[in-house]
Formats: sequence, structure tokens, C-alpha cells
Amino acid sequence: MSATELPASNQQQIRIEDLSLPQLSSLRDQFNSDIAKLTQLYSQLRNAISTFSECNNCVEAIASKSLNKVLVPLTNSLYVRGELVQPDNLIVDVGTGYYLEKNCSQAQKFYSNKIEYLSQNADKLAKTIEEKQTNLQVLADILATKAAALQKSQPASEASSKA
Amino acid sequence: MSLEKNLEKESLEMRKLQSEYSKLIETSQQLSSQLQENELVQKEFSLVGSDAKIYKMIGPVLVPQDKEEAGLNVEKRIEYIKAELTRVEARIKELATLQEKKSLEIYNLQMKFKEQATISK
Repeated sequence: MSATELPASNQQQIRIEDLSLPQLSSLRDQFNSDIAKLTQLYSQLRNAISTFSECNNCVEAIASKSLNKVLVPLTNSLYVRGELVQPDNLIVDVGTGYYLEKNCSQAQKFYSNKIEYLSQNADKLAKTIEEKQTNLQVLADILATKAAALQKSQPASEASSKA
Repeated sequence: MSLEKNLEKESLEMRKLQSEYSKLIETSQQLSSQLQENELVQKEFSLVGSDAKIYKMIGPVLVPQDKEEAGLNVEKRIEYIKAELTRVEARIKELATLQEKKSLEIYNLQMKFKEQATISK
């Protein structure tokens, strides 16, 4: 998340009120795209969480012996009946192409850890998004007041503004 | 006229800098997510006993792996990614300062341009 720091204007101690209208609107656009990106990331995280919980459910079903007769997909539309002969012997994808052999309780622990880890990240991300949205609101307000003030100060003349 | 050309040249360079910058940012994000994934795998390796069975997906098959070898492999990868990451980050910093300089130059040129325009009126 290193790229989600506040824009450079904060580092140089420029007050938002001092920025010109085009600067403000480009800042607003940047905020908007940031928020869109973060929201996308958030939904990706949520997806990952639900995938892992599904895995967890499956492991639970296997562990409780309620799932030992399954249909094995040979193709998308062709299935054969199968029976789990070693229900306590699972192979878990741990990432980067590596797989670990685990028993049911280990696998469950693994998935629970994953879910917890991702949930924490998702919560953090949600907070960041919220903050960004408040910032955006403030920015939009300032932009609106500035625009209104500008319109008042030069009612008729459409001359190039030297803001 | 030369001022105008100069300005054009500078803004072209600026655009180049910006595109390289955003590409690098993307690369660094990719690298950090890879780093994270590898670190998670390493953590997982450290949690299991030495008798644990490790497989690696090579093409469509799972090939059994020696645990020590797999651990070393991941460690090496992490090192490599970290080195890449520092390299990319250094370049990003460099580009950021370059961009700042360029934008200042462009601003100055624009000011000069405006001045000339008002004088010639």
C-alpha cells in the first residue's frame, strides 16, 4: 500500500484552500481514481475471503464424514462417482506453486488463519477508503465554494482567469 | 518560436517520465505482492514439521519436493524479489525528483511564454 499515500501537496505544506481551480479538480480526479482502485482491491479481498471460507466448509464436511461420496469432474460436463478413501489426507495450495500435505484439522487451521489475515487487511482497506471519501468530500466542498466565489468576482467578463 | 518548441520538447519528456514512473509503480506493486506471497509460503513451511510432504506444481503434475530444498528455493526467491524491489524503488525516487525538476522547468517556460504573448500584443 505504499502508493496510496496522500498526494505530494501535503508534504510541501500547501493548504488546499490556496490551490487553483484546475489543480483542485485534478486532485479530485486523482482521489476519485484512487477510491475506485481501492474499492476494486477491496472486492478482490472479499472474493478471496469467500473462496477460503468455502474451502474451510469443504474441509469441515470431509472431516465430519458427511462428505465421502463425491462426483469427480472429468470434464466440465462429465462426472464419475468417487469415494474419498483417505479423507484425512488433503493437499493444500499454499501459494507460488507449492502444495502441502495436511490433515483435516491442519487444513482447517490453515484456512482459518488465511481468512483472519485477509479480514484484517480488508478492514484496514475499508478504513482507508472511508478516509479517502471524507477527504474527497472536503475537497469537493472547497472546489464548489471556490467556483462560486470565482463566478461572483467576475460576473460578466469571461477573460482568462489569472488564478 | 523557439520557446514554443522548447516547451513542446519539455512536455514530451515530461510525459515520457510520467509513463515510466507509472509503469515502475505497477512493477513495484507486483513485486511486493509476490514478496508477500512468498513470505506467506515461507511462514507455512516453517509451521510444518520436517516430515511434511511438500509438492510443487510443475505443469499439470504435482512433484514431491524435498523440504529443505523447497525452503531454500523460496528463500532465494524472496532475496531476489527484495533486491528487485529496492532497485525499482530507487529508480522511482530518482524519477520523482526528475519529474519535479521538469515540472518546474515547464512552469518557467510557460511563464516566459505568457510574458512574450502579452508583450507582443
